[in-house]
Amino acid sequence: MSTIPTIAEASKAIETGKLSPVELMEDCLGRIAALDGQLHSVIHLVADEAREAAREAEADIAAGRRRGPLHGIPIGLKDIYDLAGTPTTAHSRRLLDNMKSEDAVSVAQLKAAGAIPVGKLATHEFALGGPSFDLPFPPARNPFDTERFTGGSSSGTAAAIAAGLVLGGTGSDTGGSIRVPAAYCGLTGLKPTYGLISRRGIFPLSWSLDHAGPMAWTVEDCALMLQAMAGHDPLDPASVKVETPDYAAALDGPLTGLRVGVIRHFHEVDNPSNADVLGGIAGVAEVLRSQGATIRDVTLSPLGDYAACGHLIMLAEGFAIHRKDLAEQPQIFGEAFRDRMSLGALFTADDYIEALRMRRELCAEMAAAFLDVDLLLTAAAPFEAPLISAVGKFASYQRHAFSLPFNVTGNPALALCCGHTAAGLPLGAQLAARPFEEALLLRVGHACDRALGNRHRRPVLSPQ
Amino acid sequence: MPGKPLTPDEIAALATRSGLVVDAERLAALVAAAPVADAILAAVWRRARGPEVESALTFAADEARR
Repeated sequence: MSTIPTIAEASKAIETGKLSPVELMEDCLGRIAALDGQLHSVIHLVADEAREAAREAEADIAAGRRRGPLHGIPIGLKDIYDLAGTPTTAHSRRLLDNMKSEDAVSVAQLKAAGAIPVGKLATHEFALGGPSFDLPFPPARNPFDTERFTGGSSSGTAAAIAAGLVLGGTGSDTGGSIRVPAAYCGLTGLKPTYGLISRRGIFPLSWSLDHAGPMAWTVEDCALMLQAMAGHDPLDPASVKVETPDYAAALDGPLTGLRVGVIRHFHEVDNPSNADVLGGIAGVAEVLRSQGATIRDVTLSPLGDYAACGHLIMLAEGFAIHRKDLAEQPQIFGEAFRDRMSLGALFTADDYIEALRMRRELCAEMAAAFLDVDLLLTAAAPFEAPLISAVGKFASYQRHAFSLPFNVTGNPALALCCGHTAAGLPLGAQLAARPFEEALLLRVGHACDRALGNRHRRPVLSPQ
Repeated sequence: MPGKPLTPDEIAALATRSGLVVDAERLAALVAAAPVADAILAAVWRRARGPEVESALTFAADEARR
């Protein structure tokens, strides 16, 4: 099997005529055929359509109609994103026949930029309930060790990218569903600022916390995908009308004078991370320091406060979406989703209002922190991917996620690979920035990618 | 009482009010999961502030939006 290129590498090769989009597509489809029996990352393949689109891309590029760096690039879509002509199942029995006739806005934007969807990818049931074994499709497996968890809920996207089944993909992030699987599977995941990417055509989990975003092997690739996905959508009430900068052009700026705040109590006290992760975070801080940034500690409210606020809002809003089905046909859901989402019934209006008031305070606290620093640094996950059999139904509520604070506040946050355990399992660090400062976030992440030098470490899988 | 652990009777009443069918199996699942909700509620209500503080925050946020 051929070497797996990044989006940037494949794009350059396509532009210079060294790689054909058809050849690239066949490589990806070949890897899906050879490897996905172990990974279970793809739940709906559109191989014929993808091959046809690759042929069209090849013809267009040959005729001088190249649309940009994503033209001819195979991508995958988390199966809560609508793709015309396919069902959006949200990995649930409830939506097996949920055929869609239009693309989600961000999918249409990716297609307009030339990216080619090859299929719909596994998630947790309605982006909340996994990993589960009582659903129509099995849970995705971590390509670094198929006995291990991918993280979720953008589980299929993470597994497929890490294994090179696609070069990039879409995720959604309500409490860490892009960043945690990115950390466990050794790739890059960006949760942009709330409102930067349209959520129209994406099945919601929690309206005020949901973010759509790109996942890819490198920070540079995420920048290329974000360029296509960002943009104002007047029909998404959360969408914000801001100018979209040239994210790729901003990748190579200097870091001199950058002020980085380490939220040390998050990963050392509130949810103590293991020594490997702490070493990875220290390595990121050292990279930034060596390139001219200053590093200081920052203290925020306890991670548990952010988590409680976020979980209450998530479960209350999610329950509002699923209440009718939970009341009338609870057996249609998997146990994990049903038991988690039913917690929403236990919250009252004044509980929800109190969480919204708390959110306002936490947003003010976060904004104040960013008066003194330009970036925040913490862990993306407290350890390497656990065994899939060891992930409890309420695990994400019992150890507070480092990702959820930035869903509560809406700040952009990036998970990137900061190293590997002795056994070769990836470790994740997280950087966050002020609202709409994705260009800065990506520039710093790109500097880390280059300096850490770990992007050559793909998982090793053998066809079965 | 906000922030105090929910009793099985309170859990049954809340779930029933939401339209869930609360048979013995469902109630057992909800009671088993309730400590998760209790912890969330305790953390949220621990930071509860008076209405005056909330008003000031709301006005400040509204001002910022303008």
